[in-house]
Amino acid sequence: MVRYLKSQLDDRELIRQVFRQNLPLASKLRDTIWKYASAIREREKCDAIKIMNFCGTHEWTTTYYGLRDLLPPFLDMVAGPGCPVCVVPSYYVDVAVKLAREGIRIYTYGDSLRLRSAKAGCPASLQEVKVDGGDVKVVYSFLDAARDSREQGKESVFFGIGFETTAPSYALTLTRGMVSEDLKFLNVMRLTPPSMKYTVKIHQERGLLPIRGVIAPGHVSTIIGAAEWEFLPRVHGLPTVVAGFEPIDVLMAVAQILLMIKENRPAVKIEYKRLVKWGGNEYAKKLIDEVFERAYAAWRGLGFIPRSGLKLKGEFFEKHDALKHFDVPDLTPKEFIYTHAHHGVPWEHDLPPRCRCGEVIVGIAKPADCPLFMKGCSPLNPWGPCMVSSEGACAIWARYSEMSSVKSEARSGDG
Amino acid sequence: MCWGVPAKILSLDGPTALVDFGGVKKEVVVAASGISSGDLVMIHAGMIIGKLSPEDFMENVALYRDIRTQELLDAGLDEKAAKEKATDETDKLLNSLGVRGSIASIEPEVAEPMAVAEKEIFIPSNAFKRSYKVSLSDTDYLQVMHYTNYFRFCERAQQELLEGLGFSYAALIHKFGLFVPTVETSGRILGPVRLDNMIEVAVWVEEVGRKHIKFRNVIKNLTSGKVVAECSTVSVCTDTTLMESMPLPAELAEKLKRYMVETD
Repeated sequence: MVRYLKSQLDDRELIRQVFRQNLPLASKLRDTIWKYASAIREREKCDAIKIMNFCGTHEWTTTYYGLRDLLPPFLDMVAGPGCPVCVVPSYYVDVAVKLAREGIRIYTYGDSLRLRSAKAGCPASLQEVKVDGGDVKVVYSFLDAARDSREQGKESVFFGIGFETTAPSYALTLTRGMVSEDLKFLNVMRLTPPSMKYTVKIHQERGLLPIRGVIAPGHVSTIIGAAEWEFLPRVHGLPTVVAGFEPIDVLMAVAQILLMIKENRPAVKIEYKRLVKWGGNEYAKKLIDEVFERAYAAWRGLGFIPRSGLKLKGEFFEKHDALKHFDVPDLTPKEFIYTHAHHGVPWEHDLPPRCRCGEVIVGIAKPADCPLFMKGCSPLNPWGPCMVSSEGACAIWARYSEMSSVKSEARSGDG
Repeated sequence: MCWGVPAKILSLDGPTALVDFGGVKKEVVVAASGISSGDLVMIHAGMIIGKLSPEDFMENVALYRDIRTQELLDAGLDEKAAKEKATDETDKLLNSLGVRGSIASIEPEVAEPMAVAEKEIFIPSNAFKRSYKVSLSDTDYLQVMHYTNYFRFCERAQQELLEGLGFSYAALIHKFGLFVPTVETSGRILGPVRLDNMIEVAVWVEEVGRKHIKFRNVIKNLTSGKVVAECSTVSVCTDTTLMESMPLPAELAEKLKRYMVETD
């Protein structure tokens, strides 16, 4: 069988054939989904079935391939907080901008370049600093930044955003001594399971239309393992499917979630079997543990979530932490500042006026509900953080919503 | 941040590798074990996060068979026929796309039943019930009720229970010359009660001895609808002047029977 596969087609082509351009399977899955969704709706007499696609890339797949048009209108697909650029607190953008203006070279990924600070002022983003003549350089990976800074020998800072997926690349580069002491790391690493927990909690607390199923992120789970999501069915009774990023992957995940709702047997299932294992990537997990430790972390528009961030530890903190090196106070929960008298900056609501990104990333509001959407805030001139990255829900809707009717008829009674 | 691109490995060099994205060549770091040259891997932000193998690929495809099997079962087919038909359909689908393998050998995924919810905590129908509102002074720094206050509310409910029977604390002391101090407690806190929540304390009598009463309490958070604590306390009838235990007045023992329920 394996030989067959290899002789037939290039593997990449094969994946594309089976999971992207597979019309017969897509139409069969559509029928299955309609059948189950209608059965559930009939049984429970509910207006809508809300399914959260945690990852920004799932939102991209859903919108780009127009999957919402294939699915029943009462199946409400909402985006989750799975976009690392969207959740970077404005404060860290301020810090990066300040350092860049002081003449320090800033390395950043392309999508965080345009991330705006909530503070009014000029320049508000790294891009604007670059236009002003600041030393900001876009890199493809941390490795490239490490190489470049070694050659330059100049004091520089890497704007380190990302989830668990990105963490091993930082960890590996740091542990193998590929990073010179000139390169500091501005740490904005975040973890996905705590934010998922927060999202479910906020839906419960505000009494919103409950989330009925979760499409868990595929590449994050490749690193942390699908078993990490077991709390969703166990504590919250939510069917969870770890899915890939091709349209057929998402359809299969939705079908499985509906099947589990119908059978009333929530569990974690892996759809993305070609990459995800239950235990994840042990090698990468060990690397993360070597370099990072869990910490209280702030999320843009949401505030602090316990144990939801990664922080450099030990010698790596001493040598490479940008905030420590430049003696900039870190964001600290208010209570800690008051009780322990540490120096620190409290988190404040950090979205521009009228921006609803804080609600968009937890699936309470749709991008089109935002008064700024495609008015003040557009992909050309992103105002809120969700409009910046190619994985931000607003940016995806702005670019591709013409391909499908994003305005789902079954609008949950959300605020 | 799940944007990933598949690529082929051209060569490996310690912690880094040269990969081919289908024309574009790029150096990336290897954050996965068991990678060799020629493998198809997934790249995310300049890093290999995992390997794509043909076996795993087939397993992935087999998932459709599982969904289809379930659907056929619902349609009334028996298990074996449903599985065969679903396998057949999936194979046909694959063949039409140029794959000549079969998924027949791959075992369907067994859904593991999730852990059964915890046993519900029993509250007898004849229990004495009182509702209270949690005020600021009951809570701690996190605005969650401090654990000692669970006992305070239980005690308050017990006091009201006795008062309802005509044995207020004042009456016990001044009329009978006795008091019922609590000498033993045990409890479990199961969930938080926050500021301004309404709680309902249920009290019943589990045991009336010659000299003691065993109360049982369950606290329910009416706001969240969950049982948040259970505890039991033992009070001993004590003579106020001698400070020694004494038999319960027969009258009281008789009246307590109204709230008597024996549980576990």
